[in-house]
Amino acid sequence: MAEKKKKREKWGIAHIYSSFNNTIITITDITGAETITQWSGGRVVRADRQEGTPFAAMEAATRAAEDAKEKGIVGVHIKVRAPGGNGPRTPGPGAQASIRALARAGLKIGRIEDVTPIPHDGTTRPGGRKGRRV
Amino acid sequence: MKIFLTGTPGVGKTTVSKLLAKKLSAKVININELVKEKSLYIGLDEKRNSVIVDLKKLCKEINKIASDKNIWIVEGHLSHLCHSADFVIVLRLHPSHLKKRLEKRGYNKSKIMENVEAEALGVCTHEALSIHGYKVHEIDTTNLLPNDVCNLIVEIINGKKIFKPGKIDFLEDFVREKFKNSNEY
Ligand SMILES: Nc1ncnc2c1ncn2[C@@H]1O[C@H](COP(=O)(O)OP(=O)(O)O)[C@@H](O)[C@H]1O
Ligand SMILES: [Mg+2]
Repeated sequence: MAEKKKKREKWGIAHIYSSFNNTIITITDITGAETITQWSGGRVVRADRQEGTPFAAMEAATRAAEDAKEKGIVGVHIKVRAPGGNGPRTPGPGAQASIRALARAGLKIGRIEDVTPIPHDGTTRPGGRKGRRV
Repeated sequence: MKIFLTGTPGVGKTTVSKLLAKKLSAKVININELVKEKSLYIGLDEKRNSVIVDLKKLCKEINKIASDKNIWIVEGHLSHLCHSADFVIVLRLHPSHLKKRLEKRGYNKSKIMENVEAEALGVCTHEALSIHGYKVHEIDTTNLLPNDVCNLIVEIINGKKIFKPGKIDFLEDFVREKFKNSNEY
């Protein structure tokens, strides 16, 4: 009985794409099939040259988090795709800023997975995703 | 002189390098062929069905081959990971166009998606920039013919044009399309 009363917490997935020019946060349901909200750096700042800044990423993430909470999401698992940053295998500043902003906006943060894509066509470079920290 | 021609698989590096070689009387090193010919790998990435390249050996080999006075075009999506380039040219292509090309190549779904995402995020540009800085130029080849791309590269090499990286942004288009059931847009 006691267990039944415990409210089921609704979790989603935050898909973060962060490039040189932009950071886009899409929050979907846990299966990834239904999009709950999507915000990009380009939507929250005025000037083109600001789209890729950590500030824009943070703003976009904050609004995405607010939308998600409004729709009953309490926490998100994160899938981040972010080449660049200080070295070729560290996520960009936009990604870090948006993860922090999601947490600060009151969402619980679950698993953080780095799924940055690696070009390949029969050859690929060493390194992969092992040992990358977000 | 060494020109590194890089970009996600399928953007047109091999095609353009052949035209460029004719125009500049240059010689071409195709990295994928070189890697296989000289076994320049350290293992197998089973998930990606690709050999993991030994970058140290690869760069050494390139420097050995391309040490004479010829113009050398080093083409391949790993070229920018080597040092000692005079020019690094990153070819870009809109992800939806790239997807069609890779489907034509017969790549499987996950291989297509990972490469298309890499193009949407500008992975090669990012890496090239962090290694080569101002030597990097970036050309959007979407809707250009191989010959047009070739002519632009000739202008870069002659110092007539600069294509500063970071101006091409395919990400918004790509992500919007990927999550198109969104009601926010
Ligand atoms: N500018 C272009 N316009 C249309 N098709 C192109 C262009 N450049 C290349 N292609 C085609 O795209 C495919 C991939 O080109 P390729 O040169 O093999 O790419 P890469 O060497 O970068 O993997 C080939 O079928 C080629 O004919
Ligand atoms: Mg090729």
